[in-house]
Amino acid sequence: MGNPLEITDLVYKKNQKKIITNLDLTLKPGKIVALLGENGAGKTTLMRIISGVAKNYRGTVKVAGFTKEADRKGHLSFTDGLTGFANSTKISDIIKFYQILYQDFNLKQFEQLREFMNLKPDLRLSELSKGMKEKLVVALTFSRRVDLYLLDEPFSGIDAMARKKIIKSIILWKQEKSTILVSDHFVNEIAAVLDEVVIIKNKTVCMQKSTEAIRADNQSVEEFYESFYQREEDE
Amino acid sequence: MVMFNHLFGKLFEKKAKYVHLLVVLQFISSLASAFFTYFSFYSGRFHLNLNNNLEFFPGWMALFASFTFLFGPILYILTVVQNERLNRSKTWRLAPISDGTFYIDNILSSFVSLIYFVFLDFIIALGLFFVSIFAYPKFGKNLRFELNLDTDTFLTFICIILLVILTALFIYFLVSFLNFSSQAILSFLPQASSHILISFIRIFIIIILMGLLVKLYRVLINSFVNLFLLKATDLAGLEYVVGMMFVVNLIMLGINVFLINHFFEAEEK
Repeated sequence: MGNPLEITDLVYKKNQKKIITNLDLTLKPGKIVALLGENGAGKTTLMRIISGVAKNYRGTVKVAGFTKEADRKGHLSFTDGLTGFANSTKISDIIKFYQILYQDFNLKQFEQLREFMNLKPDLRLSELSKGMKEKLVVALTFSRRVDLYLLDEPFSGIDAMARKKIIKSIILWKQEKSTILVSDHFVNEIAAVLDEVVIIKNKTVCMQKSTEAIRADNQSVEEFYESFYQREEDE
Repeated sequence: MVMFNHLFGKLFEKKAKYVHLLVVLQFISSLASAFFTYFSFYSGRFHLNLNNNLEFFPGWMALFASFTFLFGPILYILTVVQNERLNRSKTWRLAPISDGTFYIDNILSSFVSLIYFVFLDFIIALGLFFVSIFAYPKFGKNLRFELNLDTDTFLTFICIILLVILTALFIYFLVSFLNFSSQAILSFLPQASSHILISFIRIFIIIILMGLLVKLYRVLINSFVNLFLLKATDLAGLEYVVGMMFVVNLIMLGINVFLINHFFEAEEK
């Protein structure tokens, strides 16, 4: 197995606009990596390309050494808005869907996460608040045993207390060699669990740095991120 | 193949919900129609209309069978819409299978759901038929079945069935093609800010594509199919149309698989 993620020379254009250009990114196994950038920087697009749901890009994307989209999808778990289910669908039916479609789905792990998130299996999607739905999405995403987890702003609707609790527990849910790529606006809250920070600016990865190195410079991740943007603006 | 089967099972399960709903609606509406055909309400109570030639159950069976031609097309339209929704759904497109295979699975499950609908209708109609025989022995005695099956009639029957199947598949493919290609072309054009403008451009693209398809279809009939199929096999009439539809369907399927694999993206949510 190769690295959980290896991207070389990625270019993606849509509606005559370059969204990603000459992007290279490699993530090592077992890391928790923050994908940071302004709104519209291309974080979601990058995750969509990695997962194979965005098309017509140039460059190479490898997930666990696999380039074919079907193989990539089998080795990653991407947060999904569950829009493919009717609002009347029960959580228990969604679990069945995941069990059948994903051979790596771990029911025991899901049950633990479901209890942790305080979600009842007989609840229907229409009965879930935005926060509860996001908790369900996080639980489903982490119930798969994969090499790469892609979390696209997974905590935005979750209340502050639950968010802190979930972020602290992420480290327990992931397998030792799995890597998490998470994009989130709450940099200070996820900072404690991060190993690396990747910043997207000007349509490409302009900074990839370990949190260890950031802290060695006597900076917090949030300060580093803010100062990075300040520096860019000054220049 | 395992993933193909698993995905097929889930897709069919989703589409079978529509089938069950429509069969129940067909059953209830045919019962209600039969009831109001055979009973009239006046003077505060129901009265049996005795001027009908058929008894109640055979009449209900006939109505139920004829309602297949109303509910069948409704189911077909629902599956056409559902196919395209699923093709665009991120939830479904994230399944660990290639997008082209997913597309084939999606269309196949819709087609099987149509067969399932016909099968359920047949079983219910058969049930009503036996109830009619038991309830009205005279009805059973008066039944006469005559089956004149010469080779030509049988072949024509088979051709018509094949043509119906191929036409149903063709419409699935055509709708997907227009959806995929118009979306793909839109993604190459500059971003429009207004949804109305986007819809207008999309409709315009679809009209152009339809025109191109009609032209292509004519060329196909006049050259390739005529040359390779009609002349080589000496087929004529219905068999020719069936053969042509089969070739056209294969081409459309190939184009759609290519478009979904390379251009048609799942929704962002």
